[in-house]
Amino acid sequence: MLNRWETLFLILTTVPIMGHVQILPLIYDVAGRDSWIAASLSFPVGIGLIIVIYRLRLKYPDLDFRGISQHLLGRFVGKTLLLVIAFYFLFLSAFSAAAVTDMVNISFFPETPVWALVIFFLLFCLYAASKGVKVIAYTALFIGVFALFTGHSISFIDVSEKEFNHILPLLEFGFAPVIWGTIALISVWAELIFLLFLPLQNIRRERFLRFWMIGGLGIFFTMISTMTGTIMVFGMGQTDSFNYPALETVRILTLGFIDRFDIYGLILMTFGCYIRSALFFFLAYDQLVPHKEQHRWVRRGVFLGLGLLTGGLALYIANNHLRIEYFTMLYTNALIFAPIPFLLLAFSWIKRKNHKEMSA
Amino acid sequence: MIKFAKRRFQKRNNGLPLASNLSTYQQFAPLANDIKKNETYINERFGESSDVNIHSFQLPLNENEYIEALLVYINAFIDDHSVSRYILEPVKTFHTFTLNEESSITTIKNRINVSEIQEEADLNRCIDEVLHHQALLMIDGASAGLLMNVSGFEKRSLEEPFTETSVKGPHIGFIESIEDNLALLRRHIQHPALRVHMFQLGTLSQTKVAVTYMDGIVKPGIINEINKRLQKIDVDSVNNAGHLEQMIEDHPYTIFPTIANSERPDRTAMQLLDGHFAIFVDGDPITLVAPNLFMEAFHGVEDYSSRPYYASFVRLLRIGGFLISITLPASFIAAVNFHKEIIPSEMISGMSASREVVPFPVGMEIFIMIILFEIVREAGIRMPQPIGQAVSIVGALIVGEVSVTAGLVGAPTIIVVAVSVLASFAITRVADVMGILRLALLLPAGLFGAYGLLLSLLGLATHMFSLQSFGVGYMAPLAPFHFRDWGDTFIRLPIQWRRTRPQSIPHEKKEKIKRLPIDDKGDHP
Repeated sequence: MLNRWETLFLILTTVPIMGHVQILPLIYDVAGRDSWIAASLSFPVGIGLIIVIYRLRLKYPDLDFRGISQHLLGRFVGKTLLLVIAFYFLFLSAFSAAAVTDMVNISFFPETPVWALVIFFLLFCLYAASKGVKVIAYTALFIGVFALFTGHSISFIDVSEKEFNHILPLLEFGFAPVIWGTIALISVWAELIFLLFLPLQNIRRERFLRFWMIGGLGIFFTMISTMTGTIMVFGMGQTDSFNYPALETVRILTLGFIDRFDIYGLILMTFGCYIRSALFFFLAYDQLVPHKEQHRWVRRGVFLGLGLLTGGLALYIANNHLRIEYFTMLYTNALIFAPIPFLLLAFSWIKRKNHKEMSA
Repeated sequence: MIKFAKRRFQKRNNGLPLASNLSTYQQFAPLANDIKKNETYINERFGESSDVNIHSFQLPLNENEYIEALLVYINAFIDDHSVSRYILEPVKTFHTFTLNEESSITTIKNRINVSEIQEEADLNRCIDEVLHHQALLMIDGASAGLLMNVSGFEKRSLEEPFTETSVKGPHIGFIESIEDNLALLRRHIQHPALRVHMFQLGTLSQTKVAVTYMDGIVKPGIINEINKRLQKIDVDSVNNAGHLEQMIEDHPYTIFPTIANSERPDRTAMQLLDGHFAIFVDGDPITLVAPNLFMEAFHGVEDYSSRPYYASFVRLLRIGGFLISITLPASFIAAVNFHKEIIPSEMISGMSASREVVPFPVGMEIFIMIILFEIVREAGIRMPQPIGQAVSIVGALIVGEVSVTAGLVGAPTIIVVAVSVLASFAITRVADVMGILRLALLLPAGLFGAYGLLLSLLGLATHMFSLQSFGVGYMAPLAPFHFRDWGDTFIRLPIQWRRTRPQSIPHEKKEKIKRLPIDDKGDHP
């Protein structure tokens, strides 16, 4: 069972990796220097998701997502939905592994075979996943505190390099690119549906909503600061050509005892993707194999099978940078998951209303 | 068939069980009325060992009548002077004996000048107690023997513990006697709530083990758990505390110790008062303390008797020392092999020049140097002290200056390994863990640079977060997160700010400090 702090740091270490590193080149392609406006427009959706998920968890404190979905949608639709989301989580796990591998391969180890990087990464992630969500949350807490302290320091060190005029003029190409950018970024916020799957401590007693809102603000802050920061440092023209714009901003840093600080980008990307990959893998596995019903060896077999599937997919995606770009575009289709919590809450209202009418 | 033969023998042996070499003898064996049979049984069980003294003599009943008596003890455990002065002298000069079976042993008991004396009717138990430093007196016709504590074997005197020295505070460490160790603990906690539960473990070694805790402070669940684990142990022998530790720890395959060791009574007492329990093993000065938290490895006992500022500084140094010790050699390999961009450009030329004549790759160079250091260290520890010092000096000379001059290793490598090893001396409680991690991290750093090192550290962190010590998170107060305890984790806040017991260790009594002079603000200028 996770407490509010652990869920907060899970939010802060998983979602921002997509929001301010992986999806950045795509957002710059779509929305250009107005990306930060797109991020601002997508923020209410994210906050709405958090509120709706919280209300659902509050409404059904004793049920997990399996229980909630089957209670509201029926057995068949509930199970189907669960299966779809489980595979979405598996995709996220594989995509995170592929993303970090691609970045490491392009920026640090161009001569190392991709398969070696993927296998090495996934071995550690699967180990973390095998330890369960509580241990992953503990690791997220440790990483989160480190990132909170260092991330802001890095942003401040960068200030002297920034030129505010680079993000002007606003809305140069009208509203359409911003809208497309917003839609793409909703797919990042849609990842928050993982909050529906976490085992939580007493939701009535702990102030989960407040902490989740802080998590949402954290995601928004990292999106905005990186989107504007990179353009302010390099200008739109140069930024557009980067594979990993967020990495370039730390690459130019010099700390006296360290000549180039791009190692910090490697640290954060590895940390974040490690938590993402392990968490989403665990959640997918947890949905596909309910623990109590299965024999230990069956569970291990499924774990291994899913591990091989994730590894294979990660290897396929990471093998070529163009595939990473393609799958980043594919990833934006995940915005279809964003309405799910809203629909579930609506169903619960309708169900309650019908129940009241029936009993009246 | 064997059972049948045993029963036959027992019948012939006046009901006494068969005395084979490795039987456990847990069943009740009443003392035979005929003292000769008891003597035979004892002889069989001890196999006529030469260190067992079975002294047969006659007790005078009156001027003309005598009764047969038997005194049994192990020579090395018993003080001969006490035996002759306080046991034999009073009973041999005794002249008004009646042959009433009920009163005879009690009458003798009242005449013996030994404070710890008890009657025992079970011969097997009598023999066990003889093995635990007691003397046994039996008289013919009596249904019980007398067990007397006249132990007096050579012991080490109380000294400062070798591994936990301190400048400020007490300079006494535990020794090999469990009774003395418990007495030392009682001197620090003079309260009846200090509980001691004795166990006897090892069917052959019959080692005395004591579980101690503070009633009303420790969580009963933790004590139930340790009692349960100890009761489940069925082994031939428990040789020492480290041996027992491996039998009861939560994670036997991890490199991290989930049970702490201490040789200091003050430290053990302090931990008991915070909600831990301690286990003493007879014959070992090391005490096992649990639940154990990883961050406690960075706490020195002197931290609490020093001013908080310097104690905090030293604690931060220890934590830094741990990180430097395990990551510096691996980081050096990663930086030189894969990430030269992080090395300041002014340094690169000097480093390259120093490595020009070195024939080995940097990873192998570091690996060899660490292994060489470990050999020198081990030799220095195991050799007799004067030779050990010489070995260290010669080793340091060869490993250091000569190997650089000979072009076998680069000077930066020597510096990196030396700093890494020196840093590990700041934290002796997890020195073995650091030694393993220092070596283990070389491989991922050598293969994948910083990426490999980072992932390995993450895996290590995950592993550490998954550990538990008697149901308590090993990495508390970091995870589980107990912010209140941070005041005594990375730094040590002044005592006025830490009035409660740590949340990380479950306890029954929260408040530790009720009132301090500073609370009456009016009394202070």
